[in-house]
Amino acid sequence: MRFGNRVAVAAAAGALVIAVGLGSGAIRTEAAMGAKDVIETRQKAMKELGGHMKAINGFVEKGEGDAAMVAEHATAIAQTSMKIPELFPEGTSLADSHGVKTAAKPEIWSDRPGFEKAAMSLGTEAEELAEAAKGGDKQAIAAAFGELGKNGCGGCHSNFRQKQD
Amino acid sequence: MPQQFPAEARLNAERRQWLHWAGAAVLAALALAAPASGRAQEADAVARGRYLATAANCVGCHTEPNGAEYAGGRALKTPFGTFYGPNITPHPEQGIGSWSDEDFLRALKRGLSPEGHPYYPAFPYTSFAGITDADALAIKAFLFSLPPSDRPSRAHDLSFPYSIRLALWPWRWLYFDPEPPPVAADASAETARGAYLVESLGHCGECHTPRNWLGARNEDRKLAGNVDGPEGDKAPNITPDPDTGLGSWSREDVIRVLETGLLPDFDAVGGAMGEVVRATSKLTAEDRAAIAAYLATVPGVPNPDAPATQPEF
Ligand code: HEC
Ligand code: HEC
Ligand code: HEC
Repeated sequence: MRFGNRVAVAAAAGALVIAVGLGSGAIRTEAAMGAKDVIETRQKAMKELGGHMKAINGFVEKGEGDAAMVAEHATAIAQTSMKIPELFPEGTSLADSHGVKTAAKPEIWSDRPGFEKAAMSLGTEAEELAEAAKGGDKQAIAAAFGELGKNGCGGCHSNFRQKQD
Repeated sequence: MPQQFPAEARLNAERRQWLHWAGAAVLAALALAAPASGRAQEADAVARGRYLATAANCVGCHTEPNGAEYAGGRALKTPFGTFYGPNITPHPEQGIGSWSDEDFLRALKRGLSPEGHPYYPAFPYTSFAGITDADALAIKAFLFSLPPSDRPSRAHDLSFPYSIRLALWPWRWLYFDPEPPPVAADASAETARGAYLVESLGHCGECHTPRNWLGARNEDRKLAGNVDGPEGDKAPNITPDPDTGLGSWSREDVIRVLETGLLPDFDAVGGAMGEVVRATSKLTAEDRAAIAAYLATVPGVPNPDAPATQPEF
């Protein structure tokens, strides 16, 4: 091999190394940015679920609003429940979120069927509350609300979320 | 041992007991009717025992996910290793079917096996010590009404030196006090009932009270929160401290979390507490109110490392 060629090869290899280095760096920041967006989006979605629960609780505990309002919030929760799994893509658990703060346990991915079942169960419980609200019986509404909190929200949080602070 | 039951309830219980005996004596004379009375008394104890076992969440540690209830196998991860809740169905070999009442009381309230070896405090007998004998035996009656399971109990998987049961003797000597914490003389019946539910049956301190390096609870910081809770969760401060505890929660807020798992900011509790809520949600409304009443009376202790959720105003 001639000297010039050797230089060319070395330069090419060097360029390759640099390109790979930059590339993976870029991938890393892109992943972090992506993770940040998706984590913030789902935390906001979760807070909105809390808002619906708060409104329903106002009716259950203090008689604020009416049963039709309860049915609306319950239906909104059921609709959100179907979108929960897609807000948890790979690479966004508390173990691999690139420094973004999240309470999502790795079990969300190692037990994906269990996680999807928990999301579906939120939908079922919310629909039951919506049904009870259409019936109008206050006691049935309060009971279905309790089940929704404990099993629907709590059922998933028990297994798949670990509070961080 | 001071009983933690409200005096009135105890009197009632004694009176009922006496009536049972008196009734049984009369009926024993009528030989035919006696067995029926025995059965009714038994059914009464089973129903009471079921409720008490729920309040103590025995099922949680003694049931594998999706497994037969009380047949054991549930893994409990701790810093000392993994414990497996044993089979406590009435199977004569694999469960506790051959145990006498004395065996059961000794295990639940003193943490000693029928052979006399000490149990690990992962079995929260340090809290259960305060359960009245009558209630403990009702729990036994309930357990003995369950279908026996032949599932063998699994050996614990502990790291050295915790794997040595003998090491538990000094631990007990230093830390095990079988007397339940005394209830204030002026406590209302409701608060006294709440103390019994929190300290003894519900064993809230097992997770919410911080521990020293040997795993013993620091009672000076009772219920003040534990950064090393089960499965790596933080168990928050549930004393009435105004800034880091439940001081700013209303009574309804406390009752609501026990009934629905919903916090004052309408987040839902998770981790080990999700399971506790499955138990407390099955209690009577009066018992949940009693828990809230008692929690409001324990000394407030600040703990910024494991703060409670603060309500939004
Ligand atoms: C299928 C699982 C699942 C269900 C069902 C669920 N959650 Fe969550 N929730 C999570 C996970 C996982 C997190 C942690 C998300 C993170 O930090 O990235 C979370 C976080 C939250 C948070 C905190 C958000 C933040 O700002 O960090 C709130 C509030 C919340 N959930 C409320 C609810 C309520 C109310 C319900 C029921 C109506 C509910 N969740 C149902 C899985 C679930
Ligand atoms: C926090 C978890 C936990 C709870 C709650 C719990 N146990 Fe246990 N239990 C254990 C563990 C772990 C052991 C094994 C201890 C050992 O081997 O040293 C055990 C052992 C026992 C034993 C001895 C079994 C044997 O074969 O020697 C009995 C009986 C028992 N528990 C009954 C109960 C009852 C009744 C309740 C409810 C009042 C209860 N437990 C609640 C964890 C628990
Ligand atoms: C097995 C362990 C365990 C036991 C037993 C337990 N807790 Fe908890 N508790 C926790 C954990 C862990 C949390 C935090 C849950 C979370 O991350 O959402 C918690 C949260 C709470 C909260 C909400 C605090 C907040 O501000 O977020 C209250 C109130 C509470 N527990 C009361 C009780 C009472 C009362 C008892 C007894 C009847 C009890 N707990 C028994 C582990 C336990």
